[in-house]
Amino acid sequence: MGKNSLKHNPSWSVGISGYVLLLGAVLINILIQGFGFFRVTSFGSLLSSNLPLILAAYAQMIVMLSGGIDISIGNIMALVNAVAIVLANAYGMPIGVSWTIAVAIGTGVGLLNGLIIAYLRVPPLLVTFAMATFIKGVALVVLPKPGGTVPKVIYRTYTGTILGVPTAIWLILISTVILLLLSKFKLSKSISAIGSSERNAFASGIKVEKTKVLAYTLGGLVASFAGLSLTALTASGDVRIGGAFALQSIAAVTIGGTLGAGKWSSYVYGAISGSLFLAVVSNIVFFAFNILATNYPGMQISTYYQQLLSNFIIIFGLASAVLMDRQNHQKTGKDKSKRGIAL
Amino acid sequence: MKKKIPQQTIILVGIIVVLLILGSIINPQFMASMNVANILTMSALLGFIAIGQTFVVLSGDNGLDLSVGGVMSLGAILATTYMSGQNKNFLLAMLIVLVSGAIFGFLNSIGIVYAKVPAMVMTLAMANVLTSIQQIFTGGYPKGGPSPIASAITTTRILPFLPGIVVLWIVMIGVVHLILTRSSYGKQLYAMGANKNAALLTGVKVRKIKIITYTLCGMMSAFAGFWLCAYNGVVYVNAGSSYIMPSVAVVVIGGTSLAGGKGSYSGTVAGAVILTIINSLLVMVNTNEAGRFMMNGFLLIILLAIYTKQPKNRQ
Repeated sequence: MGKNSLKHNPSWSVGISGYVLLLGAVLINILIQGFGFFRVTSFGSLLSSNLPLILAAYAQMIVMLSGGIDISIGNIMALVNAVAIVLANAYGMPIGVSWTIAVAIGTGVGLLNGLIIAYLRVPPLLVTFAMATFIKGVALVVLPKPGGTVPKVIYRTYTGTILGVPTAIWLILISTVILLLLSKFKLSKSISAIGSSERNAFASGIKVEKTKVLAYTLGGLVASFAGLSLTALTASGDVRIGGAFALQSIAAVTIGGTLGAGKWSSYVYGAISGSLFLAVVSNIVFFAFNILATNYPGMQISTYYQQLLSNFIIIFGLASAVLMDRQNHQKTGKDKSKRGIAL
Repeated sequence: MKKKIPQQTIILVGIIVVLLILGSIINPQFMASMNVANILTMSALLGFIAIGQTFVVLSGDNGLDLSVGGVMSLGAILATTYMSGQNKNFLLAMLIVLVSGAIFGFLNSIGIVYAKVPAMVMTLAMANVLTSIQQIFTGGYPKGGPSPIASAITTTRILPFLPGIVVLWIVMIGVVHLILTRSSYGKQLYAMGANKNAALLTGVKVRKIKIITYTLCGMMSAFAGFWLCAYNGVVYVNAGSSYIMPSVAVVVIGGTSLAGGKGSYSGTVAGAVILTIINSLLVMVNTNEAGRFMMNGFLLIILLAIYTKQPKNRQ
């Protein structure tokens, strides 16, 4: 089983593909953008606009580590966004209260997902899809039309700096450290155990159902924070912007190269390098097209080509992440356990 | 196993009957031939796209194709562009649609078989590529329109409740059934889905079968797109995206195991009819978009809970 071979293999080297890809992407980005890449403003805005994706990837990573998948993450973010905006704007609640309620509701959706998946034993892909559809409807009831605002201080702080360091970096640090600390708890070990083999986990006395429920609930909680950061970023409410995050988060976790690993901390590193890779890729493509446009003013290139190019790069990233992971496994030799995305 | 299949059929037929009775109670016009024809037409579109999905899920190895919506949308856009409202272009457009669908299915299979990307992730990424391609191809606004023949096939009713496209569907059901049960491809597909290693040992060319399966899936999704264009008349970018998860759901409701190797297309057909009736009921009861989403999600969870319950994990 995976556990043994991992002992001889420090956690950072397991999900290595994510770092390699990220490093390559960052180098190309610096080449294209120049050292302006490191300026606090451009670096900060890159991170603050991608924090929702990073947090969504963290949420997805917890669920995928347990051997499941959560399609509803994007819609949980949208629902949290809608509730936070409406409670504050239409009902005049203080931000602290409305945002807490929003997080509670998002976590509740995760709990519900977990209960249905664990106790009714329905495939997670379909449960979370059905849940996504359901809460899309709920979000539309809460906030039928885009609108609402967030106090200036919040989005100013969110996109600004604290002690000279972009707020987004603080938030990324805090969330990463918290997730890494979680690896010290028994829960994280149970989650990865049911992910690598439910049968073995059950045999070794882990409460499979309870662990599953906790994994999805934790996923819902983290997804709720992703929704809040989306709210702070866009400074308004729109239930249609969250949807794409579910798929992006799955891509980020896969590119992180963690499908073969099965260890909590390597999943965390994988999720962040995977989502940063996605962020840097779209940055690269944006600046590359900018250079083209300034040097050849006659050329009109639609943004559709930018999307197409970044999508191709993502496929390339997915393929090389999976291939690199496989080689890593052949080297360690012992790890025969096949982790896939369980449906 | 032999015992289980008739039981599943009974449940499926039972659900359909209950839904029909429910519909008639809510609205006496529910069983009117016009409405039945509509339901069958919508089921046929879903049924077409679910042909490929059934094959892919049967192939096992966590097989799943989430690019069916993108391929379907591209098929619809190519259909409307190349038919441009003229009968003489019908066959050419159909050919272009089928070939392009096959190409994208083939690309999926290359990523899955040779780069070993998990099927779900590969097809998801392909779906994004397909969105960009549609936007580039159309500039955001598709032109053209279906040819009169194509529209006539979807709207002309051979019997009061039976549009031409449903007859086409019935023929396809027969063909797909024969492919799955009689052809050597079908047998190898089931063998591979049930146990890949055993299939390899008995000489099944696993890679080849996988490539054929995903290519077929792309082709059938594009085919569904062709008829979506013919039925709707107007096409927009990502018109087929609402078919992605339903195509998976009907396969599962139809009794095909997501683990692969077990199931049939006739079950998928029943699943398609069930899901379409539910949608039709919801349109009838509540035209509010939000309410429809909520009811759809809720009913799907109920349906899945009674229907796809997996065995408890005990020694």
